[in-house]
Amino acid sequence: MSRKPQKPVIPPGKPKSRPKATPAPAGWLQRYFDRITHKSTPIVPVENVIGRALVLVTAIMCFLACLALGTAWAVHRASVAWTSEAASELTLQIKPVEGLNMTDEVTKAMRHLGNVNGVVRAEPISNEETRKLLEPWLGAELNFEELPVPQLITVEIDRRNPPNLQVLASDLIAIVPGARLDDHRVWQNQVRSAANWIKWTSFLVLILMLGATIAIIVFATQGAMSSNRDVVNVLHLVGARDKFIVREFERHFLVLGLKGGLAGGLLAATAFIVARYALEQIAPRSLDGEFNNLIHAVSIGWSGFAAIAGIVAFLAILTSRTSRYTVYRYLKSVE
Amino acid sequence: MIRFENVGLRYGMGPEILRNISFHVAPGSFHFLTGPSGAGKTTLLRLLFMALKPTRGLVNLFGQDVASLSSTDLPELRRKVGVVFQDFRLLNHLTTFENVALPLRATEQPEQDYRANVVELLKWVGLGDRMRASPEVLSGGEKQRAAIARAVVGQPQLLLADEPTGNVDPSMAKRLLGLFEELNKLGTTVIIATHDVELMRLSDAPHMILEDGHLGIES
Repeated sequence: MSRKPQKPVIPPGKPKSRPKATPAPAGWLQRYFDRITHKSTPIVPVENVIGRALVLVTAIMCFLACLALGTAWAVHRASVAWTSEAASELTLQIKPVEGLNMTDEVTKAMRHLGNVNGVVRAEPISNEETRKLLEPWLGAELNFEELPVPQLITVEIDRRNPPNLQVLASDLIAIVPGARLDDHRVWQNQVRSAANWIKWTSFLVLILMLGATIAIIVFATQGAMSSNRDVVNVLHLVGARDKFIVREFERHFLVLGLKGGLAGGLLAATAFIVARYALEQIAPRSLDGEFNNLIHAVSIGWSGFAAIAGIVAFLAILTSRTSRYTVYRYLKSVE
Repeated sequence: MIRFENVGLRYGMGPEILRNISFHVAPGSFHFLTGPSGAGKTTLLRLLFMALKPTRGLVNLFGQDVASLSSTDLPELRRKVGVVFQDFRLLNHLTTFENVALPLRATEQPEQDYRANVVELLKWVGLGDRMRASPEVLSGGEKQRAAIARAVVGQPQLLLADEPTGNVDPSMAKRLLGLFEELNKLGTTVIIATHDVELMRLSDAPHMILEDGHLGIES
């Protein structure tokens, strides 16, 4: 059933007429340079519908992830700025009491505050400032003689050495019957809980988006494997190891993830810059302080750009690692 | 090199496509595998390049029992086998050069190590001026030669060809047969599956005749 070769002068599989070319000696640096600059066509076809769809989806997911994280970060920064400002400031309200002179009451309160350790500064709010504060509700023609408007005193405290606020409040009530000390604790708690709610909602949205992204990448990889079944078969038949095939697909998906991530990241950075500009334009003069906090919170700065770059890198790595796992599973299933 | 003993193969719960196939192929030999359409030639070739495992019997390739091979052993063994498919199976998004060099690229050799060899091989099969062309623009004969070049570029010990002259005219078929004979003279074992009687007349190689799932030999 077999036939001897006519001229078995060389071992099988060692063609004599095709001598092996002697490669030029190359150092590791040259080899590395050749590897990163080689222009061979990728084994996995680059341009296809699935690839384009995955780039689009990754871009959208990256944009939304940056927005979710950016929102959480901005809210956190704004709430910290607002509450830290509020924590170092108290408001003493002196209500008009029948038979008592308001000027005397203010003087008594100021004298007491001046003697309390931990109080850095106390300053009554002038009638002019009070009129401005009440203007949106009571109009510009406010007459203090006709309307019993409480007198407000802003008190700045030393946050490192604060006075005992309960003792201070009770002492002030004893001295000035119409006094009420507001340490803004209720407002601070409301701001904190609202900020926490927004932060955790943002994180939940982020986790859901990551889950959706992973699911989309798995489907896209499976689709790519199906549409490149011929490529995989040919690679198997020419003796390619699974590791090699997986690496080719992983590289392909890493590039797709990077493309989508960069597009989404750039869009998100642009959105933050535009949001800051828009806030600067609409900020009313009367609320400069609060809006400055908000504008500062929305400003992404270098740390924000670094965070966006981190999200882009994370999504690209997530894309390549998910596709790697999916390709391995596919190759195991076709063995 | 190749030893089949009482090999049988069926797809799923269907009838046996191959029945009690037994033969032995020595290194450096040249064979035609022939038979009517649907006789199981392609299935036998798929057993030979380890795309299928037999339902029963022993298939021993290069001294190893195929049934006992793990998936990690297969690539190493497949590199000893070059296959020319009837439909070429060239990848259209790669150039002719890249298609031919694919088995070497799959072994993760740097391109500079094999470039000169591949170029020389392409010239040898008459595709020296078509290296950068996509397979889509190659003629049937050129595709066939590119497929042959890809099959032999890794210097396999066994070359399998499925209907290699099915898409070319008689003169090209003769040239391709000459190419296979030249490779065989250089030491490669060659098995060509064909039902081209004219082609087989041009060579005195023995015929493995597959009919109704059984294999017969005609010297």
